Order: sequence, then structure tokens, then C-alpha cells
Amino acid sequence: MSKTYDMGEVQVRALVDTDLDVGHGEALVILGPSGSGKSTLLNLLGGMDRPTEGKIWFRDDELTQLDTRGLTLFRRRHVGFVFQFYNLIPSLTALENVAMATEIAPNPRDPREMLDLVGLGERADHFPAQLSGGEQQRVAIARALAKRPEVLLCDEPTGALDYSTGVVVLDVLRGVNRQLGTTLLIITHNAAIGELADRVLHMGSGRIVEIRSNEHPKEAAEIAW
Amino acid sequence: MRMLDRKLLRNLATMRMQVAAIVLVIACGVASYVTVLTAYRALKQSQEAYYGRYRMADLWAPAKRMPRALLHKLEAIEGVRRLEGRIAFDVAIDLPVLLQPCSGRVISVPHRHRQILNDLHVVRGRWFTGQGTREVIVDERFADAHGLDVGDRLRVIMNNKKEALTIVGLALSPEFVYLLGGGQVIPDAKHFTVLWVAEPFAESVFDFDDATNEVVAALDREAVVEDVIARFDDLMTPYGALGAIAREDQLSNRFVTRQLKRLEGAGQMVPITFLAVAAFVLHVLMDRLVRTQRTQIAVLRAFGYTTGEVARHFLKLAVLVGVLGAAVGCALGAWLAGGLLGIYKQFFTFPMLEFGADGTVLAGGVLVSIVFSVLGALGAVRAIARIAPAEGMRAESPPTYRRTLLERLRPLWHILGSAPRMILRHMARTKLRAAITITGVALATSLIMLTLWARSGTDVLVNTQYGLIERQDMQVRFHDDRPRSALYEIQHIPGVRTAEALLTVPVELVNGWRTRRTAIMGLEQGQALRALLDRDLRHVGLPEDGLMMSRKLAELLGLEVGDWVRARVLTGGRQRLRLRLERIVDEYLGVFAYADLGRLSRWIDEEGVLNGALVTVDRRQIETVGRTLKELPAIASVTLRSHAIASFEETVGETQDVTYSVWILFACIMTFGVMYNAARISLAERQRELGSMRVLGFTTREVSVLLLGENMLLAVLGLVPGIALGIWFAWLLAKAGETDLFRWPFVVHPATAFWSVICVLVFGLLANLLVVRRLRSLDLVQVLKERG
Ligand SMILES: Nc1ncnc2c1ncn2[C@@H]1O[C@H](COP(=O)(O)OP(=O)(O)OP(=O)(O)O)[C@@H](O)[C@H]1O
Ligand SMILES: [Mg+2]
Repeated sequence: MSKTYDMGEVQVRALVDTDLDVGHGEALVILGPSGSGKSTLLNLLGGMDRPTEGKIWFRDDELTQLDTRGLTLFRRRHVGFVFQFYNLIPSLTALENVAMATEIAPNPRDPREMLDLVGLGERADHFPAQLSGGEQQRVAIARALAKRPEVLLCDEPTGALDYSTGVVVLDVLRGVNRQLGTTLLIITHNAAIGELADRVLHMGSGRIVEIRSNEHPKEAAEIAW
Repeated sequence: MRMLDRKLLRNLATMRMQVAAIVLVIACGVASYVTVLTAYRALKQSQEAYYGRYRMADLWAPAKRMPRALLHKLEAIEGVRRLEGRIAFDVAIDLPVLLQPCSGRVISVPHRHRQILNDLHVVRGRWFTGQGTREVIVDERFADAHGLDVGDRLRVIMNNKKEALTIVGLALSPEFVYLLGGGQVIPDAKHFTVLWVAEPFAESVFDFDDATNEVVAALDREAVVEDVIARFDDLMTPYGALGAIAREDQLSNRFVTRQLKRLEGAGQMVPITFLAVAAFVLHVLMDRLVRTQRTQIAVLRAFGYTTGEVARHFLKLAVLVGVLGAAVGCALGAWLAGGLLGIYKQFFTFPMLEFGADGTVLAGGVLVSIVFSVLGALGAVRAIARIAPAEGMRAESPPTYRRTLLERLRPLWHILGSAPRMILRHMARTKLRAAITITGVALATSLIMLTLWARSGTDVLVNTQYGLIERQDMQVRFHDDRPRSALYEIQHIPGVRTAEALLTVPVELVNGWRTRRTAIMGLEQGQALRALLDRDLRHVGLPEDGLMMSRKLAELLGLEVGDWVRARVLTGGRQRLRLRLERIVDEYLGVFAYADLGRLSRWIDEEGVLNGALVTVDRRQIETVGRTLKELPAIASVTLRSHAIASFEETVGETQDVTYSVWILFACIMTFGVMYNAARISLAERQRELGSMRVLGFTTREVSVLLLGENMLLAVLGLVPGIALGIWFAWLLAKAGETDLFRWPFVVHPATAFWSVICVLVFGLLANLLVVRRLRSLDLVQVLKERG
């Protein structure tokens, strides 16, 4: 698929003839310099945006055939997102933020269990403003997982966090992938994080430059940057 | 500052819809100010000019008949500057096209034109020729209503003789700016007019050689009116004085002056409401602007701009909004003022009503508009001073929310989903803003309620007065007192079903220092054509002895049931009576006293007389009956009930429909402005929140409901106090609007509240939908890329 942003005189080719298969339960890390098209790729896969050319399938469904409402339902049923800037609802407590996601899911998980999973069971009644960045990010992960998504897409989930907090968050993500079997895609600028993944994808100028498989993915605590 | 100005214009452009909404609300305020004040000043100036140029009298003193020689004595009274005697009579006018006889007031004027008090403004035609025999100058409005012109003939029954008069001129007089015939509540130029005839002719027709029955006087500026009146009454009593009336009590002048006062009041209250609401909404907008531009402000401050310079930059924006609102409002107001004046012209006739955009009023409009805008912006601008140059560089942490009071009610809170929780917590966090929205909606609701109430009041008034209280088809008045046989004559006219006797005696009621000139209406026990009702519309029996009066009259005289009141009869034997107030009735029109007819006739020592009748007629024969009654010289006037209803609804109802539509439209614009801004700001603040919900898989509709829910909840919260406020305003207005001519019924129909609620909800929803539509084009990727 390709994605071109039409800016009038100039056309920005954010993604050029990219072809990618992601396996069920796989953990994939996407690396690449700024502006190389990582977020664009992730957003297309998550049904947040449409490619200019090409097709995307999720199992047997062709996403590129769906209308806006269809894409919304696809996100609702199958995808969890985690962003660099958490994007929690400030007027809801941690638990309520997670519970909100379960209100629209057909087969949700227990919000409390999800908070326990990310290690924040104690902070369930706190508002986002009362949580640290790392804690907010973990709530965001819990929220994404509560819908029982098959795919978890994370755009620089540790970008705003310090090293040790980042490790905690990555550990949670890796655990989710292993224990719950959720397919995991993580965008990062940090090559070291690639060691967690089953496969590492290198992007440059809107293309996939290299795909590398990891025979022995490491645990979060084992990597250092 | 050039770059800053450019930034200002860009800010304005991005907020253009919100600014436009505020500008509209301001425009409504300024427009109502300009409209009402322009009309007020035009009317006021016309009134003053008219009174001045045509020498409006200060005093009217009617009597039965007095020799002209008395005028010299009256002229010598201290304080009298100038005085003229004239002959004035109520007459019947016979117009073949009209079913019911119409009545008029004949007033004599000098046969050769000279400058007199209450001088005539001759619109067409000329003054009299020679002695002016059988010549008449008629009121222009009457001529217009009947398509009469100079040269036409008019048959008038004067002194029991039918005279064919030639119209020589059409004129207007300052005495009759508001032209109201006896028994009329609103002007009806078709059935009542003033006729001016030459003095020599009047003298011969009415057998009034060297006599007059009315004196008009101009007083010195420093004269004490009460003293002059007392002297007049003293000197004139032997000649059947009816009591002198000062200008402030003169019917036309009193009505015009009171209306002007009300207009002036409306010119202040309504605009202030709109401008205050606009200021509050502007405050919310500016507050939001300053907060979103915190970083920009900090950068400007870091560059070395002073707080004052930055503050001025934001104030400029407010001034611009004020100027825009004023411009739209002034244009709209100047246009509407013409319309409002047109409406007043239906009631008040000034020969030189000059209407033009009034510079002072326009300047005032611009000024108040800017003042309110700046006041609105001040709070937000003051916050600028608190932004330290360095502080702005730091990112804002997520907004702090707290648990709301409602959450103490655990079971209730638990059944709420996330959306209601978000709505309630958000509202609790932005209390001031919520309060402003609620207040705006409440004021708009109350304004609509008030308007609809006033309109429905007219219907209630007509229905009660003409549907329940006055049940006759016609009311007949005789020229003078008649024996009972006169009633039988009427009863025997074919087509007449029933006729009931009526004796109307003009009196002055006195209780201590309170006096009131009115009439006692004598009715027979068991009569059925004048329902006497209390507040709950229950029948009140006519007392065998003593007086019964309308609540307003008792109030004006400071009387309660059981009190004694003195009555001076103003005609005939001029008896002085002491009467007990026995019962009270409730009526919307006029102030009357009632008594048993037999008793009343004995009080005036004319046992068994009557001077009028209430008549019901076979509907199909109204015309025949009317024609027959017209032929009877004894009859002074006939008033048709159906006609009174029609003219009331036509004049008052239609006028109200026009003005009230404008008010309601303005109130709807206010609702729109308030709600639109609330929704836009809510959207701007929660874009990320709503965006992340969309990413989670919430549909546009689900997210819209959240935004809509919050704003519509505010609207609903505003409706409740709005309705209460509306009822209160209605009560105040009903109280303030009470006059001896009208009382506005304080009856609030549920329909009034219902339609107000509908108006507000429709416009509120419209504003919200315009905003919610933007959610569809919300760029998810973009929204989430930015930091919190
Ligand atoms: N809405 C947009 N309009 C125009 N160009 C865009 C838009 N979004 C992204 N681009 C361009 O597309 C290219 C790829 O952007 P993308 O956000 O995918 O990069 P990225 O690899 O995620 O970079 P980063 O690591 O900085 O987040 C960039 O050149 C960017 O400028
Ligand atoms: Mg990116």
C-alpha cells in the first residue's frame, strides 16, 4: 500500500509500495528515523486512516473496503491503541477510563483485572492528574486491553517516559503479548527495544528497508539503553 | 504592534463563528436599545413640539352651562395665563354605511381663525366661511377611516336635531393624540371622532347664546395646579361644574405619557439583559483564548512585551467585537425603529412625527456595546498578568478533576455510565461556565415566556371581558335620564330579545386625600347581561344597598370591604353621598362602581330613571335593530360588543404579534449565541478526549451524544429557573402595567411555558448540531499527535 499526502504544490509520499504480513500473536517492533512513515503505517493498520493505494486485510476482511463506520467498528472490536501521550480521559478515574472501553466491547475483560495486570490495582480511584506519566501510560494499556483486542498498536509508548518507567511499561506490553496472545506492534526510536520483538522492522523514506527476525527475544528487564 | 494586529485578525478569523454568535447577541441588545430609544425620542420630541406649537392646554373645566361673563372671573384666578370658553357636546353621527351609530364630540372653535389653545392642525381643506353655519372640520383619522374628504356631507344629530354638515377641513388636535371615545378602551377612529364647528353655529344649534360649557386654560409655569383646580371648582359649582382636570389627568395626554414612560423603561431593561449575556459569553470565549494562548503570551512576554501591551492586544479584540455588534445592532435598530413607530402611529397621531436615525441614540448604542464587551473581556485579560514568561513554556498537566457531590450518592452514581460521569464531572469543574450557560438560557426562556404570556394575556382579557363579563350584544346610551318606558320602547323593537335597564351616574369618589372620578353603574337585581365576577370567576351578587366596585378602583381609593366612601354626584342634583363598600369584583377593563339601580336612582332623587340599556339581539337582525336604533333621537350612542372584540383583537392583537415576534426572535438568537459558544468551547477543550474515544472504537454518534448531552443538560437546567423567572417577570409586568384602563390578567398557561421550552430547545439544539457536525471531520491522527 501507499499513502500520499497532497499538500497542494508538493506531495508527501509518507508510505511507498509497502507490503507487510503480521502473524497472529506476533510481537513486532518498528524502528526508523523521524518522518520515515512509521506512524502512518501503524495508523493504516489500525483503521485510523486509509491508504491512497493498495489494500489491507484483517483476516478475511478487507479494511480498505470499509466505510468510516465500518472502520470504527473494526477498531472497536479488534484493535487497542497506545499513544506516546497517553490520551486518558481526565474526567474519569483510572478504573473508569478502563471501564469506559468495556462499555462498547462485545466481550470485554474485567477492568479491575486489567488494572491489576498493569500493576495499578491500588490506584484505581485516582484521576489522571494524580498519576505519573508511566502510570498513566499503564492505564492507557489497561484501557486498550480491556476490550480484548486481537491487536495492540503502540506508537512510541515509552517516548515520554524515563528509562526505568519505560522498562515497566515494556514489560507489561510483552507480558500481554505472551500471556494473552495479543498481537503487538510497537513503534520506537530505540533500537534496543527491538530485542524484545519476534521481528524488527526498519523503515526509511516511506519504505520497509529491512525485516529481521529474533531467534531469542529478550525480557524487558534484560535490555538497556 | 503590527504583527500583533495581524495575529488578532487571524484569531478572529479562526473564532469567526463564535464571534459572530456573540456579535449577534450584542446586536440584539443594541438593536433593542436603538429601536426603543429612537422611537421614544421621536415620540417624545413630537409630543413636545406638538404641544408647544399648538398650545396644548393645562386645564380642562367642563360644566353644564355657564355665562361667558364668568370667564373673566376665572381668568383672574392666580396662575391662569390664558383662558378660553367653548361649547362641547357628545353627539351621534349618522353614516349610512355603518350599522351602528357612531358617536362624536363636537367642540366649538372661533369662526375666524386665530391662535387658540388646543389649536387645530389643519391637514386638508380650510377654516370656516362666514359664521360657519353647517360647516364642520373633522378629525383626519375619521375621514380616512371612512374615505371622507373636504366637500362631503356628514349627518350629525345635535341637540336632538339631525343636521347635515359640510366638511370644510380635516384636522388634528393635540388634545386628541390618543383618540378615545366614551366606553372605548382602544382608539377606534371609525366609530368615534371629534368634530369642530364654528362658535356662532354651535351657539345657535345648542341654544348656547353667550354661554359655554367647557373652559380650557393655560397656566403659568409656577402655578400650583391643585389650587387653581380648587378655585375653578369653587367658582363653577353653581353652573354644574364636573370638576376641572389637569393636563396630567387628561385622557389622551395621560395615556401617551404613560406609554412613553413604559417605552423608556423597556429601552433600558431589555438591552441590558442582552448585553450582559453577551458579556458573559464573551468572557468565556476570551478566557478560553487566553488559556490556549498561554504559551504564545509567555513568548511575547519573554520577547519583552509588557503585560499592558499584551492585555491591550486582547482588549482590542473585545472592542472589535463590541463595535461589530454595535454596527449590526444600530443598522437593525434604525430599521426596526421605523416599524415600532409605525405601530405607535396607529394609536398616537402627531402631525409632525419626524423619524430619523438619532445620532445620540446610535452613539449611546455603540458606547454601551463597547463597554459591555470590554467588561466581558476584562476578567480574561487580567489573567494575562498572572502568566509568567517562563511558566508558559511548561506544558500544562492534565486538567484536574474531582469527585462531584453527586458521587456521595453511591447507588445512583453507580448506575451511571462513563458518559454521564464525564458530563457531570466536566460541569462541576467548569462551574462558572456552566452557570453562565444556564443563566443565558434561563434569561432567554424567561424573555420568551414573558412575551408569550403578554400575548396570551390579550386573549384571556378579551375572553373574560367580552366572553364572560359583558354579555350584551349592544349597549345603548340615552342623551339624558329617561323613565322606564324608554326600556319598553327598545324591548319592542323587532329583533330585540332582551333589554335591561342601566343607569350610569358620573361621580367623584373620595376617601381622605384619595379621589377618583368614575361612574356608578346601576343594574337591576337579577339582571343577566353584566356578569359580576370575583377573581376565580365566581358570580358575586349585586348588593341591595351600598356600593360594589372593581378591585382596582378599591385599590386606587385605598378602600376595603366595609369601608365608607364619600361620593359627589357630578350631574343633576349634585348630591353628596356616603356609601359603604359592600363587595368587590374583578375586571380587566376600566374602573367601575356598581349599585342597585333602584337604590342609585333614589340616591340622585330621580326614582325609577335610567339612561341606558344593555340589549341582546337576534343575531340575524342586528342590522335592522341597528338601523332602528339610529333613528331614535333620544339615543346618544350604541356600542356593539362584537365590534369591540374585533377592534380590540385587530389593534392590540396584531400589534403585539409584530413586536412580540421580534422579541421572541431576539431571545432565540440569545439562546443560539449562548449555546453555540458553550458547545464550541466544550468541543475545543475535549477534542483530544473525544478523539481518543473515537480511536477506542466509539462511533461519531456516540461521541456526539456526549457533547450534546452535556450542553443540552445545561439548557434543561436553564429552563427551570427560566420558567420561574418568566412567571415572576410576568407578575411584575402585570403589576406595573395595571392602569385604570387595563389590567393585564396574570394567568400563565402551561402552553406558554411549553412553547418557550420548545423555542429554547430548538435553537439550543440547532446551535449544538452545528458544532457536533464538526466531530465528523475530526482528524483523529492529528488530534492525538499533539501533546496534552
Ligand atoms: N497529515 C499530514 N499531512 C502531510 N504530511 C504528513 C501528515 N502526516 C504525516 N505526514 C508526513 O508523512 C511523513 C511520514 O510521517 P509519519 O508521521 O508516519 O512519520 P514517523 O515515522 O512516525 O515520524 P516520527 O518518528 O517523527 O513520529 C512525514 O514526512 C510527515 O511529514
Ligand atoms: Mg510517529
